[in-house]
Amino acid sequence: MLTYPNKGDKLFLGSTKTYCVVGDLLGDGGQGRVVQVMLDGQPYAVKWYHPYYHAHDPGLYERLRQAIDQGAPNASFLWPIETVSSPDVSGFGYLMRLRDARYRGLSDLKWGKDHKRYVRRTNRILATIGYNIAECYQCLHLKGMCYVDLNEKNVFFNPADGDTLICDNDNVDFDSQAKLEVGTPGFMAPEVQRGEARPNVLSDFHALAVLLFELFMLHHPLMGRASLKYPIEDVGIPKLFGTNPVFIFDPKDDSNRALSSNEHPEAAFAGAIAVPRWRVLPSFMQDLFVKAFGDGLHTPQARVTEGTWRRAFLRLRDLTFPCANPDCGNDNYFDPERFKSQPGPPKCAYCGQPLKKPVRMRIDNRLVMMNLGVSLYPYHIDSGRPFDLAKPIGIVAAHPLKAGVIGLRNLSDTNWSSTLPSGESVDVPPGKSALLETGVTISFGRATGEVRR
Amino acid sequence: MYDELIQDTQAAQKELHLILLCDCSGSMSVQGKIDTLNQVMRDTIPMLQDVAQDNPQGKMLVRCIAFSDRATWHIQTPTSVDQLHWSPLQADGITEMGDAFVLLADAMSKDKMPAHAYRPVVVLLSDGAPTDQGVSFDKGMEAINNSPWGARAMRVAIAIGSDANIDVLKKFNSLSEVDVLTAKNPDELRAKIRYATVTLSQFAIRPPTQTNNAIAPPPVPDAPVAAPASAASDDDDDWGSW
Repeated sequence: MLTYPNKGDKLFLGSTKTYCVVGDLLGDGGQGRVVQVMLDGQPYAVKWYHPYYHAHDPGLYERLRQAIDQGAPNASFLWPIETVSSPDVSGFGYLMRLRDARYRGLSDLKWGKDHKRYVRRTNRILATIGYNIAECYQCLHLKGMCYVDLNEKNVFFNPADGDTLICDNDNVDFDSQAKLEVGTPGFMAPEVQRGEARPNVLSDFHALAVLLFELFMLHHPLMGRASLKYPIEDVGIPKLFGTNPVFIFDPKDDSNRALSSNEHPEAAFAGAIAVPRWRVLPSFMQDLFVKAFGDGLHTPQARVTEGTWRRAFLRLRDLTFPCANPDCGNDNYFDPERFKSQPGPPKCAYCGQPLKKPVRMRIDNRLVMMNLGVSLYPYHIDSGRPFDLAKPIGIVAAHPLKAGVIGLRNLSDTNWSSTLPSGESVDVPPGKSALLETGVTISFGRATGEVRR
Repeated sequence: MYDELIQDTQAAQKELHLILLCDCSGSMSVQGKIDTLNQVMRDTIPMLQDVAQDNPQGKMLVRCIAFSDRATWHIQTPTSVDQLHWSPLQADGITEMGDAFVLLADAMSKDKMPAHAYRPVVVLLSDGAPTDQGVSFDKGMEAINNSPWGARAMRVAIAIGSDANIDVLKKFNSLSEVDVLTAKNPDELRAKIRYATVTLSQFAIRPPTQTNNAIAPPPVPDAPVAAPASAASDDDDDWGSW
């Protein structure tokens, strides 16, 4: 018997006579190998476990069957479709969708500008990715399941639109029956790191918060100056992540504070990259991380849940606006609270050039930057609507003839009405645009938006 | 305060030092063992590059000591895996392993290593037994254990062929979970070198763990491991042949 399938081998799906044919090797990891396969003329992927892995994880096959029976929580999961086996190869694997080559690993965000794997991104895209990740894990958790070993290696994103994929769904189990004790240092919750608890939904919450923090800050939330005490990385893990975890931006405890690059020669290992990023993060977002890595470290029930993250990331996304400097290409958060506390006119956090005030709209207590190309969704005009980004109700577009004039095109199927600064009232039927100019108000039915530029 | 602008700089990147100690004594020239070793190393570099690509938080740096009548640096400057090219080792002379250990210990001293790094990975490859004409094996081991990074390194020995002295090599190993790796044919050598370099480097940078015990390295594969597809890509510039 062979231990791994080879190119050209047939792998049978479940207990059927349907088979896929093995193609190229795509990767080789700690648990198994991933090969491309063809099934009905379509490419898929198969993960085939290393022979030694079965002894490591006796519940694997049943968990896979269970996941297959349950089905994917949403379309973003590269979920097990069916188990596969072969009479000529020992062991088994599972069939899943192939990951599109455009998708990048989350850790690729950590490459610097001069590296070939560098990913160009905006804060708007990061907020979209954060929202999508939170939504995925919310869907999984709502099925009563926990992910167990959530870490940056499981998440992939499309840099063009922030679409997200969740891979490695073979540890997933129902929360009450999860037995598998695996985890990734830094992502394991403190109680799991200490060996006091098994991974469950609450420890997923911790890992999710770490993931989301790293997405924006590019550094681990618990690796501050206290980590410099440990010359060898793995020596510090039990303390920094287990027995004495302290948030690098904890407002009350500075024992593990992030160090700025001018404070210490080794500040890079103590979060220097995060310091300027944290400074520009709006306070509502900072508060969530302070909660996740404050009370949340010690009281699993106090951790931030996905619904809260989703709401926050949409709010954050609505506040992004591009820097006016054409050589910059970055975007900033419109944050009046912070602008007020700074001397002089606000400057771009990336290039230092003065920021140009964006066109913005206030709908009830929600603030939205009306950048060209930005869409409005049902949640914008009706706080009772669930977050659903499938179908926009409006999009910001340039006037086809008049330079510098922009409008909000009605993509919904209901009439809006707009009041101009002169007091004149204008109908905005579906397909038509409402002018976006200071003093204009747009009535969407339930809610009214007020424009400033 | 805008004194610190946000820049698209590289996130914190700790160094991972991988050091190979290669036996280049005369017996390594028998049955093309040294040639196989050279070929396996060429073959392994793309896999190390893959690990580096997937782990922006680690900077993988490689060095190599060759030892026969005496020990010399084959690759002295810690070289990023992206820039790593393997120049072939040549075999001739006796097996002064102790000398190699002294060279290693010196490189693992506090002033020659960064203030913060991942646990180094040190791989010893030998097909025989130390000759102990210069520094003895035991003295060499003592030097390693007295160097701060050498003592903490993940040290793994690979016995090439059937004449290697496993009992001696065992003393070099520092991982309780990993025995001396044995390689009796080229496929096994490839699998074991891959494990010792690629798998352990990956493990040093980002260990997957069990929750209730200390961090344990992944088990040694019991079958030869194939190279990823990327490692065997076609040479686009070569139009002269298929």
